[in-house]
Amino acid sequence: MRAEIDSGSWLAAPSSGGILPLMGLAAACLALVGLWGELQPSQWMMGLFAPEASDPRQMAFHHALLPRIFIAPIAGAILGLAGVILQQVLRNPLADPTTLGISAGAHGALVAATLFAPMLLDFGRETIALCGGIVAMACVFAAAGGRRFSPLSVILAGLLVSLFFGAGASALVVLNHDYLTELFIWQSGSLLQSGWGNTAKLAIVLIAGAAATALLARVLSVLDIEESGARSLGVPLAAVQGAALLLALLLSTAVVASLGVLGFVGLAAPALARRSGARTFQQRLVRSPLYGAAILSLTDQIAQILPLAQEIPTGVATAVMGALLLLGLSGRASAKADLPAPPPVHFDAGHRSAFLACLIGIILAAVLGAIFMGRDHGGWHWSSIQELSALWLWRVPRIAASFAAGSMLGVAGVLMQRLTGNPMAAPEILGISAGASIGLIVLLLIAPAVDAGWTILAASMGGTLALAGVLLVGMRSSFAPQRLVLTGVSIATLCSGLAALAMTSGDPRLGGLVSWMAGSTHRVTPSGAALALTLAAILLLVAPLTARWLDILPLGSGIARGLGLGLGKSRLSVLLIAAIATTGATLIVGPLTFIGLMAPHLGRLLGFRRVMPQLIATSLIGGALMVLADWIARIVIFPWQLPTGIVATLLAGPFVLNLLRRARR
Amino acid sequence: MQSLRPLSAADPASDVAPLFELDGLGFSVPGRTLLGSLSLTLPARRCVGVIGHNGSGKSTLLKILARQQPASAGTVRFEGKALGDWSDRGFARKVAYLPQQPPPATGMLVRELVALGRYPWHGALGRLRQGDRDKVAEAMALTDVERFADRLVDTLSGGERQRVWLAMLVAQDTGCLLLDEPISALDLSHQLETLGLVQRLSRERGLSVVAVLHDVNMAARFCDEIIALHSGDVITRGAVAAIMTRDELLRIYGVEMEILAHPRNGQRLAFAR
Repeated sequence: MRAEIDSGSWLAAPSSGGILPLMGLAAACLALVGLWGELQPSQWMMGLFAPEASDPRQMAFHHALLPRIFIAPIAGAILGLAGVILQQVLRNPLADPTTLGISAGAHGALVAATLFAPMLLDFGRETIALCGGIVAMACVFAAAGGRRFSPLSVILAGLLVSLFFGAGASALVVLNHDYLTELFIWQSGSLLQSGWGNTAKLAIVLIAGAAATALLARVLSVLDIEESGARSLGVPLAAVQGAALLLALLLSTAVVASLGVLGFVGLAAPALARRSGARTFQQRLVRSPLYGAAILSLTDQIAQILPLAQEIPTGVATAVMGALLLLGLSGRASAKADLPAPPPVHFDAGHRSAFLACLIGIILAAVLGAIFMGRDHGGWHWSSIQELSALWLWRVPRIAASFAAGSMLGVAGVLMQRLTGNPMAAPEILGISAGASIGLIVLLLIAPAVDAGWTILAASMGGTLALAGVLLVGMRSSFAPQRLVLTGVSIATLCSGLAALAMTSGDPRLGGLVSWMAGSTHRVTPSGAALALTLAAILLLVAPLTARWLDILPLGSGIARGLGLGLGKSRLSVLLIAAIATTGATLIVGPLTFIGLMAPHLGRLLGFRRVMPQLIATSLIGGALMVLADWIARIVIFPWQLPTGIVATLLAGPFVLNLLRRARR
Repeated sequence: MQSLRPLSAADPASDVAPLFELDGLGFSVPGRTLLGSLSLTLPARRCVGVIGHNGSGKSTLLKILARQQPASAGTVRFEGKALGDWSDRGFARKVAYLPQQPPPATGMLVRELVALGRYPWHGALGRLRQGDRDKVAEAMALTDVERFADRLVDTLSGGERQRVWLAMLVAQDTGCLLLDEPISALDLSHQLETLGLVQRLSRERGLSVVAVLHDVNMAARFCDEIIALHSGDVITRGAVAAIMTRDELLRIYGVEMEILAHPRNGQRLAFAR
């Protein structure tokens, strides 16, 4: 049985008239006030049609202010149109260029092209963005297709693909410091304009897209009924869906190519249209672009008047807004279990010792390799013991810290997966690391010069609060998997929005944040590494005390209560351990690695089913993976270094997507 | 209770000490009352079937008895002590509960799942003693799941899995089993097998059983006594023979039924007219 995330009565409820006129009016008023501030109304006609080249105010009016006012509704309408088409084709009310990873793919392709093959840009940025979008969407479909595109699988795959492409793009950006700021601002979706070129281009895209949609509208509306029903009505389903998807891709990547990633407008517009009472597809098709235009205009105008030192990119504002919206939508998603269970593994228990031996061998090899192997100007270099006496101070702390971080993430992953009974739960996906980042950002903003103790405290508090939030939402639905995941995704989105906001603010206090978010280990001190190892060891000693709970908790609250397990006490204990472990790891390698998701599954695939062996094996695997990532980060672009967190994401991403793909229906 | 009348002189509830005593028990969620005001006693050492139409409050009643949900009104006493006064593990040593849809026990061996039944006795950190191992072995022998002991639970068939869950309940070594539709997902042969096992456990080991059942014929076949709920209230209760009449079944299900005697054992069978 296919579990739909139903749009719910909250969304379908026809409310009086909708807030469209209100939003449009507010945006228009703000825009007029902005124009007035620049130029007297009497000069507006002149500024519009024949600006005086010698008057800078008229030039700004004509080439910057006006195009920006016009491009916002146009881009918003395009995104709203793309969103409503995607939602209709995939029959998924959470589909949107951002949640499907299209934006991240397009953006990644553009970054890569800009840095490595600028001549490709001659083909047009749109073409490159489209290629990236197609690749990302293909990844999402490959991962989610095995589960017949159940809405949640698609969203989860979209999140993973987004994070993966995001990590790739960040790696490229980090490698090219010269472009960093400019790329970053563009990536966060800025509507700053210097001329009418983009506006005209997007206007053409919108008109062409609207025409194409009009051709497809009637067949698409048939998709309101189930797929089999549509087929029996004689609709050439595959062709229609393919054409519609291509159209949505073209529309959304065109916006990315011109303006960067403007997240979640495509999610919000159809949601508001439905809320305003648009019941049929035709109604949604008409209203969604209008809402998209209103949303983006209003957001852009508000972003301009916010009393901040530096204007925030509009994309950041839409991302934050989108995160909150996603949270609201997910609260109403139906509570049916819909997440994939991992494929069952049947391992002969007799092979376990052989696996264990292999595992220990691989871990030793990784650690020794990381200590001894390096690159110098001449190529690969295997350090002798004598050389090592000089090198160890540089290498050992970061290896130790990486190992500790990986092992803590592994432990946290096991705890989360067992606590929720959900194989796709992980500290990263449930928003704990994102919460830790938010805590850190807030601390840096209110008290910039603090020592490590405060940093740890702030990150722990952020992580725990995020976790508490996720659980509070989860508790009401008895930890229905998709509710947890969607909440986690929302928090993660909120975090990346805030982080982007902080970074683009140009605040010097946040200088270290960029490299920390990317997960650099090269600044780890010996004492920091010792602290991390101690924490990991303590957690590994404490976690087994909960082993019997961890056996029972995945069976759900009914069984657990029946066996006399105090649910509040046991859940809270497990969560606290997981939160501390995640926070510790996040402080070292940043918020994004997929190690906490990957390591427990690797442990399981190797046949470690029981709690204790799984905990130990997972912590070793996680540690080894992180050391490996750290080593790759150190040598792959010698003499420069990549951040470990990004490398870990790139290492684990394909594995995790494959896991989702193979997941049992 | 007003609707309740003594059905026969040999009311089965009267000759044994009460296990659960319900007094004015009510349960409601916003906008809906699932259980009205229930007052009744449930006897010990008997197999009691709870029947009723969909939404009559059967499962809710069982969940409240099992402390899965707190009641919104009234009190429930178990062995004379209010439910809320029992400690988590203390209660789990007395009462075992099987939810309507047992969860998938991914990655667990049968032996390990059955051993979880010992949790109320050894707790989170207590040592696993020989006595615990014996109880687990005994439970697996009683439910005849020894031959699956080293198989993964999710590779078993539905009926086998249900037996494994029952084994876990038996290993819990309680005097009382609460079963929420234990046969709803099983085919006919597994239904007979599972309920037969429950009946045997009740008789041989003197267990008290309260089972929510959908099928009135199954309830009649395996239970000593039947309690019928209608719209959140007890509409009737009594021995099987007293319930399996046209009038009572019409009151319970709102459907005209006929009663036949089983050609072999004379047991009463009901079917819709």
